[in-house]
Amino acid sequence: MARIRAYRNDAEAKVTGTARYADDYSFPGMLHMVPVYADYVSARNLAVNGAEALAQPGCIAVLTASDVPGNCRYGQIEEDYPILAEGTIRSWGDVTALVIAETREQALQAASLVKVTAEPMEPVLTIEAALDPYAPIIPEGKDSNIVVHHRLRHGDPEAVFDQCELVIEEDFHTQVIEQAYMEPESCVCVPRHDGVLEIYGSMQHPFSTRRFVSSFLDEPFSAIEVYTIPMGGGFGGKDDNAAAVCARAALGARITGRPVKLTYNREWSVRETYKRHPYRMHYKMGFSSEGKIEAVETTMYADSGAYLSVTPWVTWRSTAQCCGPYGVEHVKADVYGVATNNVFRGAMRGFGAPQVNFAVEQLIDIGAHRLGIHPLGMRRMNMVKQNGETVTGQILDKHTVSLEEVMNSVVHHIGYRKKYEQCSRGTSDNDELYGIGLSVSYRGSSLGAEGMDYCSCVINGQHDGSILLETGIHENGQGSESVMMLILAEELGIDRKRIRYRRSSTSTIPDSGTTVATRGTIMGGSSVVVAAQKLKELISSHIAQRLKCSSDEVTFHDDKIWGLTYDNSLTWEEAMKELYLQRVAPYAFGTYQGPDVSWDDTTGQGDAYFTYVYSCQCAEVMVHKHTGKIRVTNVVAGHDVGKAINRAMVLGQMYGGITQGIGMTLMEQVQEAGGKITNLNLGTYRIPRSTDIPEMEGIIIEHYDPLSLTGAKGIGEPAIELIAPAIANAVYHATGIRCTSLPLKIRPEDLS
Amino acid sequence: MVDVYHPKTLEEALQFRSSTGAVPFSGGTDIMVRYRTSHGVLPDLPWPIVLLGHLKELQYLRLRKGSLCIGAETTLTDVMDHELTPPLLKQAIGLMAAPALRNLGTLAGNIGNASPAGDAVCALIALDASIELASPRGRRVVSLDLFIVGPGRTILAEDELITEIIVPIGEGHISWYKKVGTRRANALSKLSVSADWAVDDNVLTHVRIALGAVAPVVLRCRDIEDDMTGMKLPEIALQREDLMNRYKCSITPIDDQRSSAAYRKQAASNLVGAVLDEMTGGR
Repeated sequence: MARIRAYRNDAEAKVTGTARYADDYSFPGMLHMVPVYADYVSARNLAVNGAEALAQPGCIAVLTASDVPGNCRYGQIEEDYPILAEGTIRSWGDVTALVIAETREQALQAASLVKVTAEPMEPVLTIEAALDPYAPIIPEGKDSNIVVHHRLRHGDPEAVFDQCELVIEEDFHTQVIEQAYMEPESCVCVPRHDGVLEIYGSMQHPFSTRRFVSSFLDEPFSAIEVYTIPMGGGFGGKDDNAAAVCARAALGARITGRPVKLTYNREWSVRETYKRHPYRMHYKMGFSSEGKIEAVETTMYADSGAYLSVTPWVTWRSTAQCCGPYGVEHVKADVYGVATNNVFRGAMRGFGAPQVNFAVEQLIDIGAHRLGIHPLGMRRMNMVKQNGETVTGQILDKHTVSLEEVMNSVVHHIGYRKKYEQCSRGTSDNDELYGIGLSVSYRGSSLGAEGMDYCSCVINGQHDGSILLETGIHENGQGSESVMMLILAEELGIDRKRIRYRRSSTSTIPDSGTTVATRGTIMGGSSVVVAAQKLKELISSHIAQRLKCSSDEVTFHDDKIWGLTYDNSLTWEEAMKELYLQRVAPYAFGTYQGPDVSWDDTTGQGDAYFTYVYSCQCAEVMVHKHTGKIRVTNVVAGHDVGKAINRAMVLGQMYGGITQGIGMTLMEQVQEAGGKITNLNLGTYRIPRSTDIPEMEGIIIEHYDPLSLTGAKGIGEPAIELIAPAIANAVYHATGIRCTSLPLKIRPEDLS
Repeated sequence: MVDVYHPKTLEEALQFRSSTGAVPFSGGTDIMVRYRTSHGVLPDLPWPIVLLGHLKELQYLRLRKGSLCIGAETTLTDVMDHELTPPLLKQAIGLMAAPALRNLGTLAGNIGNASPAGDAVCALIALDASIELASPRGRRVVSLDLFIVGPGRTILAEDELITEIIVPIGEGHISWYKKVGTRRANALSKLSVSADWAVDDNVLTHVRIALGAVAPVVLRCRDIEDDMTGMKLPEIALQREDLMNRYKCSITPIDDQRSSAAYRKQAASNLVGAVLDEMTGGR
C-alpha cells in the first residue's frame, strides 16, 4: 500500500485518545439515568411501578410515559416510535421507564427493582406470519402489516419472458445486521442558566435529535441546543434511537433541573436500536441467447420490525436500484416493507442497496454461467452507458457514466481474466479451493427523490486573517470537518492552517438534513463553495481599490489576495484588517440545494438521483475443504467518486466499507429467538478484526461531476454495497456451490 | 461488595482458600466478563476471590525429569513465547483470544474454567499433561484428562489450588493443531483438534487426538487411539475413511450460538482425516 498524506483536524486527539466523547463529559451535580426494559415482545396494559426503586439510596426519580410533557412517540416519517412506552409494548427493545440516581451504580441498582407488568400477546416475528391474513395488525390504526409498497413499472416483462433464451428464478435472503459502531449511545443534557437545554450526545443527526427532544418535551427548537462533539461512528445507526437517548436525558434534566447523563452499554444498544433490514427477495430474470437481460420481475419483502423508522426510504432505494447498474427494458418490481414485533430496522450504511446487489450480481453470474458467456462480457453488454436509460426511465446524460472504465481498471489491476481461469470449481490438489468473483454497482448519490436535499455553510472570517468554518454536515468520525476545511482552503487559495472548524450546534447553523446517504461531501462541500464564492465577492468589492483593479479582477491564490500585477497583493491579515477598518464583517452564508429529481410513485419512474457513483469490487477467496471456512485473501475496489478531496480518507472509506461488508458476508447475524436478541454484545455478535482483513487495494477514479460544485460525489456507502455478491461469486467459482443466503455458509459435506 | 484476598505467598493463598472457600482468580479473563454488570461499574462477583496472578513463585517454565513443568500462574503469553514450550501448545495459545487477553490469562485459569472449548486444555490433553494440586493437606498430581469432568466442573477440592502443569516431552513427536472459529482471532472455538503422535520405522507408536468443543469435555477416543497404535502407516492410510467414521460416530456435539452439531460432527471428522493424512503422507 502506498503512503498517502491524510489530513484530519482531529488526528492527534483521536490517535492519542484525548478526544472527548459524550461519556467523557461530566458536569457538577450531574445525575445518572438508566433505561428499564421489560421482558415482553408484544404486550398490552403496560403498568410500571417504581415505588421500590424510588426508595433505594440515591434514587431521585423513576420516570414513565405519564411524566412526559409532550408526545411519547416520535419518528422521522411516522410518529410511532415510543421514546417511552405507553400502554403497549411492540418489541423487546421498548423502554418502559427511566431511573435517575446520584450515581450510575445506584441507578442500575434501583432500575433492577422497577416492576413492569403487562398482558403478553402472541408476537408476529416473521414476514410470512405478518402477511398472514389473520395475523394481528402491529401498526396502530392500520389495516395491514404492509407498511409500504413501492412499485416500478417499466415496459412489459410478462410478455417478454416467453421469448427469452434463458429465464432464471431464484430466491435470496439477507440477515439482520447491527451497525456495531465503536461508541454506544450516550448523552449528557445540561440545563443552562437561561432555560435552554444543552445536549452533548453521540448521534449523527443533531437536527433530528432536536426534533425528538422538542416533541418529547413540548418545547420550541430555540430552547434546545444540540452540540456536535467527537463521535465514535454511526454507520446510519445513530438517528432515531440516538435521538431518543438524548430526549430521555433531556426529560431527566428538565424534571430534576440538574445535568443528566445517560450512557448506554453495548447490551442496551444492541437490544434497543434499529438494525439493517433483512430482505426476502424473489427474482425472475430473462436473458437473450447473447446474454442481454431482456426482462426482470421481482418481489421483495423487507422486515421493518416494530416501528416504521425509515423503512419507506430504504425500500425505495431498493426499488430504484432493483436491477443493479443494468439498463433493462422490461422491469416490474414490487417492494414491500412489513411490520413485525422484532426490534425495529432502520438506516445502515448501504441503505437497501447491499441486499438487492447481493441478488442481482449473483443472477448475472448465474446467467453468464448457464449461457456460457464470460461474466465480464455479460456485464459489459448490459451495464448502463453514457446517455443510456435506467430502469426508472432516467437518461444518464448529466455526468460521466464510467462504469465500464471502473470495471476495466479493477479487472486489469487484479488480473481477473487469468485468475478466473484458475478457479478451483470444486476440485483442487490441496486442502483449499480458490475462487475469484466480481460485482459492479451504481449508487444514486445523496437522498434522491426520497427527501429534500439542501445544506448550509457559514464562513466567519476574522479580522486577524484566520477563518472559522461551519456547515450543516455532522462529524460522525468519518472526517467531514477536515474535508470541508480542505475544500474551503482550495476555494480561497489559502493555507488550511488559517481555518478552524467551529464546534457547531443546532442553534448556530440552519437545519441541513442528516449526515447520511453519502451526502456529506457532495452537499456540504457544495455549500462551502457557495459560501466561499460569496466571501470572495465581498472581499473583492472592498479591497479592489487597494489592489488597483476592479472587483472582478481580484484573485485568490497562494495564501494571498491579488490584483492584476505582482506588486498589487494583500496578505489575508492585511485584507481582513482593511475590511475591519471599513466596518465590514467578512462573513458569508451559503446554501446549496440539490439539483431537481423526480419520482412517480405509481410507476416507479423518474430521475431518481441527480448523479451516481460507479463501482466495481473484485474478491479472491480460499475455501477450506475440511471445514468449509471461507477466507477472503484479496480485494480490489474501484469507485468513481467524482473527485477525491482527501485521498487517504477516500481509501479509508473503501477499506472500511469492504471490511464491514466482509462481516455481513461471512460472520455477522443478529440472532433473534422469539423476538429477543441473543447475541447482545460484541463477544457473541462477531465483527471482523484486523486478522480477518484481506489484502486490499483501492482505485480512485475521478470524473468531475458537473452537478456537484466540488466535482466530488461520495464514497461512504458505495464501498459496502457490493462486496457480498463479489465474495459469493468467488465462493461459487471456488466450490461450484451457489449461496443465496447471508451470511454465506459452506457445509463441508458438500465439498468433495 | 465482595471480599478480595491478595496473598503474598502460595502458602498464604492456600490459607485464604481453605479458610474462606474463595474462588481462585487467575487472570480473570473469564470471570470478569461473565459477571460484568454495566459499563463503568465493577463486576458483581457472587463469591469472595483470591488473587493469584501476581504470585511469582507460580510463574516459571522449567525441565524436570523429562517433563516441562509450567507454573500455573504463568501468563499465556509467557508460555507461548518460551523456547521449551511444545509447538502444539504454542500453536493453540497463539490462536486464543487476543494479545491483551493472553497477557492476563493463565494456564491455570484456562484449566480451572473447564470449558469444553478451552483451546489450551485441548492441546494439553493431547500432550498427556497432568496437573499438580496443592492444599494445606498436601499435594497431588492428577491427569488433566481426569481433572475436568464437565462444562465448568472439575475435581478441584474446596481447599485446593492448581499449582503446576506437567507436560511430558515426547522426543521426536509430531503434532498438528487446527482451530475453527468465526473469525481468525479472538473467537471462541466452534471446534478444535489437537494431535500428537510418534512414528518408528513406519509404525505408529504413539497417538493422541483431542477434540475440543464437540462434547461436554475435551474428547479423546482411547479405543481408536489404542487400535491405531502399532499399526503400520500404510494400513492407517487404508483405513482412513473407517477411522474418520469411527470418530464421527463417537462425538455428540450440540447446537449453540457459535455453531451447529451437524457442522461440528462433519468438520471434526474431516479434520481427523487431515490428521491421518499428515500422519501417513496421504492425499
